[in-house]
Amino acid sequence: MKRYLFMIVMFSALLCFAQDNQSSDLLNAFEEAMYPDNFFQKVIIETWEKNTLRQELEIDSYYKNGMGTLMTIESDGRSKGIRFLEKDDNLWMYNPKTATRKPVRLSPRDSFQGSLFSNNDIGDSRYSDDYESKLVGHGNINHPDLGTIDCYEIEAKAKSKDSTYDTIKLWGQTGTNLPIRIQYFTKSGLLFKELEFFEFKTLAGRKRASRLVMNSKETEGSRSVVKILEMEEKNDIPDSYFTEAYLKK
Amino acid sequence: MISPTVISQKLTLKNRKIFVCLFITMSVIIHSTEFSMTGTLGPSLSMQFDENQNNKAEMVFAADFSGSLVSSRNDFICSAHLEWNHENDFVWELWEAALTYRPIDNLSFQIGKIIFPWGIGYSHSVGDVINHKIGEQTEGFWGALSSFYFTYDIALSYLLSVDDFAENPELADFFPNALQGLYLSAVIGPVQAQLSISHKDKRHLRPSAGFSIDVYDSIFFSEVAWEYENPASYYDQGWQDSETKGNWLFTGGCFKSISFYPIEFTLLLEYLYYSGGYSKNQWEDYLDQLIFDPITTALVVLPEPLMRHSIDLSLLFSYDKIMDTSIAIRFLPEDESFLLSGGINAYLSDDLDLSFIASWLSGSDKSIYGSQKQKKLGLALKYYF
Repeated sequence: MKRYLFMIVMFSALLCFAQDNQSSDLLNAFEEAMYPDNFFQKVIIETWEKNTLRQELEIDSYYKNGMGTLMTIESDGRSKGIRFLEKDDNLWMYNPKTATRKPVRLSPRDSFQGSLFSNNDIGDSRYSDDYESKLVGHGNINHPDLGTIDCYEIEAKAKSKDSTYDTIKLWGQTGTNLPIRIQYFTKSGLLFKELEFFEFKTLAGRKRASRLVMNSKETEGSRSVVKILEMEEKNDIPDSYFTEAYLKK
Repeated sequence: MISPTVISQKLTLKNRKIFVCLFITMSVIIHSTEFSMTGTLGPSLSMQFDENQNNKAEMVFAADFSGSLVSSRNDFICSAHLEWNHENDFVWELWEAALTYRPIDNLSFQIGKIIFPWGIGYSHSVGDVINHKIGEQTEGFWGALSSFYFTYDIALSYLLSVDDFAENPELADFFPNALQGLYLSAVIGPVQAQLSISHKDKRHLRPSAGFSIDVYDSIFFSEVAWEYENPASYYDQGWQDSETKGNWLFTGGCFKSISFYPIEFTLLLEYLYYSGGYSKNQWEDYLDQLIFDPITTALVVLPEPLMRHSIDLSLLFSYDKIMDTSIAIRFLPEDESFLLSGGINAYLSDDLDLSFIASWLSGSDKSIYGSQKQKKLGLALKYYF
């Protein structure tokens, strides 16, 4: 009897371990389908309030795995030239037009330039480092571009209380791992934002979403839309781009 | 055979600068993959009032731009100021025009007119002998710079400034007269440290060390330097006879920033000590150069350090898409005089600002600032492109 009990416990433990591994593999595959390891991209972020366009920002960004993200606002106007550096879980903003000429540290949870994206969403959208994932199940989703598709659902819980979100739920297309939807929850379990992926096309060598829509669940008619104009896998980005000295150039 | 001295005499200063800029620009355009340009332009009106009734008003149309050409291994950055005033004078200043080449990831070479961020202090960097501050604008040095990155947070830089040669083309043996510097900087978590030394024949030697730490979003910093010679002589030949030698310089303070969109608030408190001090005559020379730029609502228009002690306090508050305001005071404890300046910048649209700025010098009649009894006001319209 003891032997059977031992085997059941071991089998259950192995099953949990295998499921954890499967969910973390799926989360990695999900993130790979969003972005390559090292890349340059040019995006436009539109922010709508009460269905009225309030802001449009054009941003160039360089991401290098293990180094960080460097972003520059390229839209004409006062904000042009403002740079952001995400490194070691810190986000720094440098505005060459301000007199202090020193980078300012931003809170990861704060809104990115008034959009529905947090600073952390923009600087580091990889959740696998900071969240513990669990495969919740499968189900069909009716997608306007892809039709009815089978998707897996991953629930990711923050490893640290300093993380931007408490819980994230991610849906990816089974087989292709294309990101379909991400939901963001507060500690109290309230769904307050939802990110959906549209207009899939070949970017940086594989099929990826070129239009991302973040909808507010708190304010009706408020959304931020990311349009990826260009994405290029770049493995020769100099490490020096991700230093404070380069930020101030 | 034409000697280098003859060539240097044939190439006037202006021609040489244009030639260098063109050469660098052409070299980079050939290899560039990205181009960007940004800047501002617009008219400004400034008015100066003093007790001697030497009041004056000036209308200026100014443009500032910075541009870059970037490819994977090299880039060219350039920034300049162009100004057209009511007397039909056209003035331009080149702040920076530098070509960078990176043969490998952790090595870079720069040539041209370079701004090198030297030091840890905010308003003052007591080790910096190359960058020339005009108002709040930094003007780079002509020369070359090489940086080696042990890691990307620890770097050793060597620089060679030929500013003296550029201003004095008759100097055939310019290399011995060129200023050389070594700069070691390291950023380890919240701590930043730097050591530097600059040297120029027998007239100049300045070692310095600086340190800053970031605690709860406040940065505490201090920097100390020892100079063998009055650094002003490097820029101003008239001061070469100064007997100031072996002086200590120190700067220290605190910088605090709070940013939660759309609000940003910064506070800077900085103390400067210069054991040699500046005489009143030297200060008056500087007053003529005091830049009053109503376009910038910055921490502003403060002259070079004077006397032995100086305390700066600056506050900046901005609300994105609405306005920003700044107020700055420089207080000289020895004569109890001060310079107070402030500004309001209203954002009319995403790319148009209306600025109002004012500065006031006050103190007793015998004090550095008080003897000037000046007030300045400015109004400017600025378009961002």
